[in-house]
Amino acid sequence: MKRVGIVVMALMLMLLQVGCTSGGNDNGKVELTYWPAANPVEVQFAKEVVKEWNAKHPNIQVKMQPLPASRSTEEVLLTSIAGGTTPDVCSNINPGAIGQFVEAGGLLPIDSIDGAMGEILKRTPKETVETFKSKDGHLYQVPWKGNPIMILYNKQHFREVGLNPDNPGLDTYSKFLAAARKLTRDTNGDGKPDIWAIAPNVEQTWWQRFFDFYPWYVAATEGKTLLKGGKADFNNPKGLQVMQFFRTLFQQKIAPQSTFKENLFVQGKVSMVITGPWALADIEKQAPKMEVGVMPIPVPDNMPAKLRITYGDPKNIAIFRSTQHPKEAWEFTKFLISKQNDVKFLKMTQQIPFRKDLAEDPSVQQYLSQKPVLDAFVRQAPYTRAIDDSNKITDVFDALSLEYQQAAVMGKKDPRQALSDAEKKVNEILQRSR
Amino acid sequence: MKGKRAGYWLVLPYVVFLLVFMAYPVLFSVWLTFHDWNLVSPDIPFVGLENYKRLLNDDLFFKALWNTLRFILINIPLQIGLALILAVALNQPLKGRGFFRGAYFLPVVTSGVVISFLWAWMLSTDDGLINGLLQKAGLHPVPWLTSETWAMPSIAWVAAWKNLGYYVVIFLAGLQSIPKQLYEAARIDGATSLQCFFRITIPMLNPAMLLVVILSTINGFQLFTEPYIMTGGGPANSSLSVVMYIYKNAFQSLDMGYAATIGLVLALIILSVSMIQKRLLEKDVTY
Repeated sequence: MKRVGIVVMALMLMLLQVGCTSGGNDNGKVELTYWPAANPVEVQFAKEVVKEWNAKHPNIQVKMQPLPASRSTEEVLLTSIAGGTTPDVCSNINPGAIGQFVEAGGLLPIDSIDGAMGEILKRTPKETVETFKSKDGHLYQVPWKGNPIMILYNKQHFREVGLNPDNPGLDTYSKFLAAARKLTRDTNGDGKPDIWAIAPNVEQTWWQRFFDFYPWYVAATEGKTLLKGGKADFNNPKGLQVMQFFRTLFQQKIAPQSTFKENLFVQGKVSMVITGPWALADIEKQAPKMEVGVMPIPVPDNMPAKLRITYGDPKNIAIFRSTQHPKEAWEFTKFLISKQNDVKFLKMTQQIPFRKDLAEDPSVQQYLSQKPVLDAFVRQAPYTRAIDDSNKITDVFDALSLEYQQAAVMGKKDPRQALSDAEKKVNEILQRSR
Repeated sequence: MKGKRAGYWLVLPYVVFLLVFMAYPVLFSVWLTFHDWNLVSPDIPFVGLENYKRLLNDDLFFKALWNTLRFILINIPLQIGLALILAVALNQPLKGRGFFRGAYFLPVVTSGVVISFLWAWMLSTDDGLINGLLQKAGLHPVPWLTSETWAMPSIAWVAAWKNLGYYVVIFLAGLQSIPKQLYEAARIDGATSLQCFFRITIPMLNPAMLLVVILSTINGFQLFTEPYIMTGGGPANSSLSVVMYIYKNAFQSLDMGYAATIGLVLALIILSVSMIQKRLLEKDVTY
């Protein structure tokens, strides 16, 4: 009977073994895992880069796996830090979440790798690199790409309602609202609009505010973020103007109070969309005939209309502390941010790498001259702000998001009250985290 | 004696599985309720009853609990009523009975995420199918998922629609276990179809009913996918369920200790509600 026991034990050991295989190297071969963002164009880019790398480096093989889909990348990464299943390299790191990852002890300080800082500073302006340093003075993320949030519009729609499609001049709130009223139309005569001027997401999900309240607030304040000195800093006249603007948009039925799961802009059902340059590749593919224009985020009426700062939505590259091969991981990262790949990235995904000499590249110049919309994003790129580096940033946005929904979307709360309630809540959250 | 030993060896894998994947997580989460942990920090300070005190003063927890109760109060009667009607219909010798049985079961085996997306589109205020039909009939569109009044009832409907087939199967099994002689005897005594239904079918279905009520209550307390996908818990937290609130605390705010506390309290609530239901319904069970 002993034999049965041995067999069972052996089987169980085998089962346990299955779960524990990791970047092993039996013959000097190193295996790295790399997680890019899961959108189709970025996955395609990652595939090509990894293929080229693997062909050139038979001893350092990279395995690419798109970030598992979820409501947010941060949730996925934090769970994988806790579960010990982090990749070696990930290129979809939101600087606002770095605080949490660092606190979790999940990231490798990039400045501890020989030669890394020199390489990074050769590529990216020093001021940009500085903004990504953590509170402890270390750099835990390789600046990779910044995607300014702007407004794309359908030129055909603008023409139809008598707006200048090449220079609509909707740079202030009142001009924007007046034009938006014209753009929201009932084209088939059934008494309800079937083309909307704009359809900001009405969901409570915290990061949706990156595409409405936040870029508007950054633009209106010429570059302020939500927190200052560990306290909420958005309950001010500018914040109120932004809240009022969105309230008007929804109350006057210029924007629908609906949740949509499809891309209304490519379907021609909305005239404007608030987004980053990544949307361009998708539009080209799904609506190749659409004439697309781009404009900056509008600002309150009494503001000089010159400086337009917007939310930058940067995504950076991090190397996780769990890696067994930091040197090789950095070598791969270096390859990922090489000029050759930055140019390729811009052209393939229409997103903007943090590279100072990018526009000097003749092939990029030629490329951008044919892509005026992308060119506008590239020119906006230096004028961006990220979100505050706080380990409670999701809770901060969550609290603000709830008040935004009640005051702006549903119009059930006075905007002034909503802002001061959000401020109170945010300060409580920040207090608790200390 | 020899045979007995082999038996132990053979159950060992399952016992290990149970200890590792059930007993350990349960004990760990109970332990967590007395600690403050952000999921990743190596030190986990002991906070005593702090998490429980916070729970008692947390308006949002009570709101989520109330939302979940509202969901259950709408979802269960709807689900049971529809499932019973369908089960009785599908128990008749209809043409294409197999097809209908399959068709009503289809949503049960379809991913909840897919179903939520589908219904989110159908219930969309401005370009959804349902409001389109309402407007064709000359009625006003209803903000199904974007008003505090309608969000939870809409979700309760979608969940009832998804799980219907499962309960139909249970009722069908119950219906088929009723001895035919009972109906024959009743007919001879001159009972009408309606009398047969209320005096024979319903009482004889009591064990199935008990099972369905308890299962759907437990399911109801675990509501997550539908609000997570369809509304994100909004508007204004009106469709935030208790499990979503656990998720938010755990993976958005990284407050594992507090999330574990809510989880434990929820488990106790489910346990006591199920016990009460069992007591109340078991009285009439006729086997």
